Amino acid sequence: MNIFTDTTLIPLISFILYTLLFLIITTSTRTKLSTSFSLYIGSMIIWSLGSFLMKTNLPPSSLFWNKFLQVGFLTVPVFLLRFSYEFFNKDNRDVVLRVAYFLSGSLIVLSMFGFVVKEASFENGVFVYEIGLGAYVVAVIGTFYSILALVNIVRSVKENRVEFHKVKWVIVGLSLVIVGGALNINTEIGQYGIDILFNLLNALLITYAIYKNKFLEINLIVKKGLSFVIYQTLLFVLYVFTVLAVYGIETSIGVDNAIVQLVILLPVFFLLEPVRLLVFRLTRHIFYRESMDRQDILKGFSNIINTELSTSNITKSMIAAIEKGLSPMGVTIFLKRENAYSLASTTIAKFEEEKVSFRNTHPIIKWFLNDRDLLLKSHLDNHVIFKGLWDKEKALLQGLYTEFIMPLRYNDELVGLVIVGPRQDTTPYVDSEIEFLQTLLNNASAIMENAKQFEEVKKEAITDELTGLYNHRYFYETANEWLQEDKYHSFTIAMIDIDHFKIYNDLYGHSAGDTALKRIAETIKGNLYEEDFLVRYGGEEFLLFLPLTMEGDAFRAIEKVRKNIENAFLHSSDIREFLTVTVGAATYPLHGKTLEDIISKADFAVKKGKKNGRNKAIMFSDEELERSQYSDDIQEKIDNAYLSSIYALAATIDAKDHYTFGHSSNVAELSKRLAMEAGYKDGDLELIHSAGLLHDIGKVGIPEQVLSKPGVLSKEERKIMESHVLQSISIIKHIPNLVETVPIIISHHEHYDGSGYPRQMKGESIPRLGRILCLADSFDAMTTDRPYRKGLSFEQAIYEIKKNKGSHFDPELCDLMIDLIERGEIEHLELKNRK
Amino acid sequence: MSTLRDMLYKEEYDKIWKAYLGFLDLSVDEFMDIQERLLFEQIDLLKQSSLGQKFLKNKDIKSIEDFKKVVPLTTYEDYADVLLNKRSEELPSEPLHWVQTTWKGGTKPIKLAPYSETMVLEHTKMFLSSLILSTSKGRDHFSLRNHDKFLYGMAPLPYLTGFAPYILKNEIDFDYLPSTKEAEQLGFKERNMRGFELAMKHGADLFFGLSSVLVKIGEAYETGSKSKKLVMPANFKQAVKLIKAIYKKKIKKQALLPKDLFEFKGIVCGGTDSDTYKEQIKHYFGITPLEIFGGTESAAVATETWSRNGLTFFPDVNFLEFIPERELEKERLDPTYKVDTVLFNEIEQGKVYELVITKLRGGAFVRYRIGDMMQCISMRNEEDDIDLPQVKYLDRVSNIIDLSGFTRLTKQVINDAFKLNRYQDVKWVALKEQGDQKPFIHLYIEELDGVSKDLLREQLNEKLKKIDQDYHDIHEMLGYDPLKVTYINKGMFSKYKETYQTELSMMNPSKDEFSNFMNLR
Repeated sequence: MNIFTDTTLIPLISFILYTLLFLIITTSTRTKLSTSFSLYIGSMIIWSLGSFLMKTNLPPSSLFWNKFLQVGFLTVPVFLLRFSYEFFNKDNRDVVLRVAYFLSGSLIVLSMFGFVVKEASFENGVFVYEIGLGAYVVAVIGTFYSILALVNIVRSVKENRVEFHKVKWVIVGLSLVIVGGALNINTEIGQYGIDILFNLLNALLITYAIYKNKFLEINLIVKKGLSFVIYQTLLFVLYVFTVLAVYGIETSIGVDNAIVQLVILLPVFFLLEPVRLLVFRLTRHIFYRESMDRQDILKGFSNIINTELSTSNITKSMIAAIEKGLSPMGVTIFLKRENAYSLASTTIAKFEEEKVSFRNTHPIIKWFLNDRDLLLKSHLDNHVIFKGLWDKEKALLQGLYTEFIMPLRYNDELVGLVIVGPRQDTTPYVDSEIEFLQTLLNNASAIMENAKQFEEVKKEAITDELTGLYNHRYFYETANEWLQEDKYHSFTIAMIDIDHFKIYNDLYGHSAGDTALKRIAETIKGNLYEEDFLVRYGGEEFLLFLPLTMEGDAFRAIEKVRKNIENAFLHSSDIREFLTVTVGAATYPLHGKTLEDIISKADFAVKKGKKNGRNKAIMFSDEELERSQYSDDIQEKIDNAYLSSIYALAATIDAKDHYTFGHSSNVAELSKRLAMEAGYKDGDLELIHSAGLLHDIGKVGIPEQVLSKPGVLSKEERKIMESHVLQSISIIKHIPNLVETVPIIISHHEHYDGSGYPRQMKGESIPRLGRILCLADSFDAMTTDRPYRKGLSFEQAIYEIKKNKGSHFDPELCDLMIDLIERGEIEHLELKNRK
Repeated sequence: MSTLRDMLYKEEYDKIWKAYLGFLDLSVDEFMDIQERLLFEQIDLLKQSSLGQKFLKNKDIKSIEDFKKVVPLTTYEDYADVLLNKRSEELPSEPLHWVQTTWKGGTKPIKLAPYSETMVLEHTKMFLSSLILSTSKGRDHFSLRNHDKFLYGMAPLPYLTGFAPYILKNEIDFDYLPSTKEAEQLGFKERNMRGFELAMKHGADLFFGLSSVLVKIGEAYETGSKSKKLVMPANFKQAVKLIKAIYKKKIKKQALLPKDLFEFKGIVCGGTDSDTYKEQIKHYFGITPLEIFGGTESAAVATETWSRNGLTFFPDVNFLEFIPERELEKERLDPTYKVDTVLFNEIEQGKVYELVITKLRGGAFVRYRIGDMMQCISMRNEEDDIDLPQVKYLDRVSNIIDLSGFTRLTKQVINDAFKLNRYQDVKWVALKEQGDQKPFIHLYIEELDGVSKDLLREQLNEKLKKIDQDYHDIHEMLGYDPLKVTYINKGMFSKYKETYQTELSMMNPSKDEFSNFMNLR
């Protein structure tokens, strides 16, 4: 009895391969699809085994094995149909399938009684069989179900429910099954098991489609077992063939001693070692290639990032590793920066420059803050928490090809997100790929966090905390490097100095000063080109580096800076704002060869600007300076003329208010005298004299009927009257030479106990010159005559001063004033409107 | 995103429930998070449109409070110019469709509402949510499937309900009775009749339509006035149904009801009087209809759940505000009074509110009074374990009388009916009343000399039918006369004014107002 004949070959090979396939499928992740497929394969195993045994004439009998194979043969079409339904998620399978099960069951029963094959036996060593009427019925039904399965798949392609390229081999396979079934009717061809062969091809093609398109996930464990089995089988075949071949040769040349034969054979095994290794590598390569690659990727990634301290390099390496390991359509990394997660890096070009971030309260962030480890596209589409996503955000996620999002965690803190697109070949991801990504992210997170902290510390060292601008240290380092590298053949450095910043701080406090600094920095930044470089150089000084900018352009640029600040502050509707800047600039290499040279020239220009009345933009150059000097002279004349007008206006106020005629000049004199007594000298005395003259200038905007109303003012009227202080400031802030009087004038109605206006300042926080002006102002008001009352005598005034000492007035100044009065110093002053 | 069709084919029922009905698991806070997020998206879109600018007045809106402060409450008049002239360029988003409805009591005969692509998608999703719920017996359960036979009894295009069959085609495979192609050729009444004819033959799984229509059909079967044409069943199941029905009718001599012929999986009803008809529909069709609440300007707003005991709002279609009754009263006394609204998380059990919506996802309507009154019936749905306030639709705001979702009568229409009969200066008051499980309009009229009450009723009925086609349809399609007339003594209106120093509201006065009035008799 020869087991291995031409008729048993196909069934035997099929049986072995089906068994291997069955092993793979049944040990894969269990799904409806895998169950259906394993049923089909199971039937094929029964069929091919039965066919093989039948043709070997093994006991009990060929007919017995034929009946055995019928069980498989008759169930194959129906399981194939079931598989086609599962494959394409069709839900109307019930009736058709139930009928198919019934038919197949009935035929199996009938086949046991010779309905399909009447006789199968060996006659003269040749396998012959006689088919019954049922064989035709079976062939028709089987072919019909195979056609139905094929129709299902073709329809699914037509309805666009599955892409053609994914199922083309399945279609070919099913067509082969139909052809094979039809050929079986012919007993000549049928004896070779051609239908089994075509079914085998079908199974292989389906397996290929499943593997290629990842319809099922085939476990690595199976792969290990499988690779081992295949390796051993190949090896076994190789060795047996070699031994037999050598044995044959030895016999033919007359070597028949067993020991001699063995001795000759031994080196052959050594010679075969490289071939064995080749087979080993080949099987490993086939089955482990992807996971081996991923291990290499992880290893390579770890090596790169372990010494890396730049987050951008780490994100780049991460993206490269993910691209290599998963071949996705896109990878995007978001990193936590302060209170939001911002886009740090992406492979999708159109989003590279995009400033996108998710706040802590964003649904995606909330998802991961709740300890979740994976966010799938289907979650984004369907989960209720994402109902609040904006259309814009949905478009962004779509634009980033979001297939799934994974968190980057360090010590349980969410430090970033990785958005991964679908695979380029559109096949779904499998668990092992997700695990690979998880390992990669775990490796990266700690290093990423270190790098982030390092960068933060580094940034702190070179950044000004208040404005977020680089500090002068960083500027020197960088600019010197540029100079050495000769990065820019020309550039301009502008020094920007805030005018009257000390007064501003004194007036509104340091916190308001800080806010103003930030606003100025923002205003300057708002008008820069990308290459320009703004630095907080010192307390109230900024440095602006303008690469490749020569004189003319530079002047326009610094003038623009000056103008913008003027618009934002001096010309703002807020009357308290009076800040301006003076900008001086010098150009490399025209004005100097070193950084220090250029900066000192720019500083020189600033000083010139300050001297010429502030709020100026000046380029360093002799000619420019002359020109600016010339224009400054004119400006000064204009300012002086303006000043004269203001004094004239003050006089008008005095004249307008009949009852307080000469009040301003009186207050100017009185406060100057008191300031002198309080120890003030030249500049300050001038300043308080001016303040005295101008302190009521805002009254020009007070309606006549309020200003001249005799008697008590109503609440509304008092409010209008009190507004004169701020109105005074709004006039004065526009006159460069007088800005310094602002703190004095604005506080001349403030009371020492905080009950004054407009800012309810208290005690020492009121500028001292302001307190002096307040006392002088009140003293003049008390002692001058009014139509409805006579002015108080000096004694009465002393009484009043004492009464309000510490409440209205600064107690120390009260003492000085009383002393002045008592010494008769006041009487010597030229005061108006008193008899 | 995978469609409902795909998910049904893949039998991913859990996923479907999460996608379409996940909002039923929200807490009030989570619901408000979604509302607030989407409101700010809408504000962002409004800012970029000239219509939006008109309401936002260039103000920086940082909170819901700011939004309420800055944007005034609006009515269709505020949009009429832009929308009726279809000035798309002034809208927050490009409209995909313009949906139409009648503008009863308005300055023009119709109202148009723009629907952007996202709005259409959202509306479809909400409608599907209701359909799924109509076939549900409890959380995570539903029996809606592809190829369900769908009897679609709602108004055709260009009304909002007419869009659904077309939009749904992208989402799910329904077999419409009749097919959409055939339906396009038929009128509203014929379509419904043809639908039921086909349903007799093929069976039907789903119905969406006006509750009043269903009741009318039920009545027709009960009284045997339905056509006795022999119907050949198209499938085994329906054949069994029909045989059983013949047995019941011919052998047992019992009256046939629709439930003997059809086995609906779900019935979704819209229309203002759905609540009234529920019991009757259950009697006729064997299942209680599920009510969905919405409108042309608002799209789907809320849906009932499987217990059919209270409406749950959809969180992502409209930003919801509610005008409490006391505020409405203040407004009634002083029409210049600026009413205040409360938010979804501020409504209280038992209180009655007028609904105000801001359309999300690029819609045009901002703080818009759709004119519907709702009552919060409980703070959560115990039976269905839903942690969100439950509401009940009460009626249109009191100056409109809505009958069975068919027509909306206004003061002007009723006055016109008097005028066309050459009656001048008639004093009347109109009330909507429920009687015999049907809504009626009851006119209390100061007696007219020489005109009998019945004659007057007849004359008014005739004219109302002429002026208002929808009113005519109630007679025609629902087969009942919704007008009741009662004569009251002369001088009662002036007596009321003397006694209470205020005019009696002519349309739907409050219970107290009306009983005070009737006590003057």
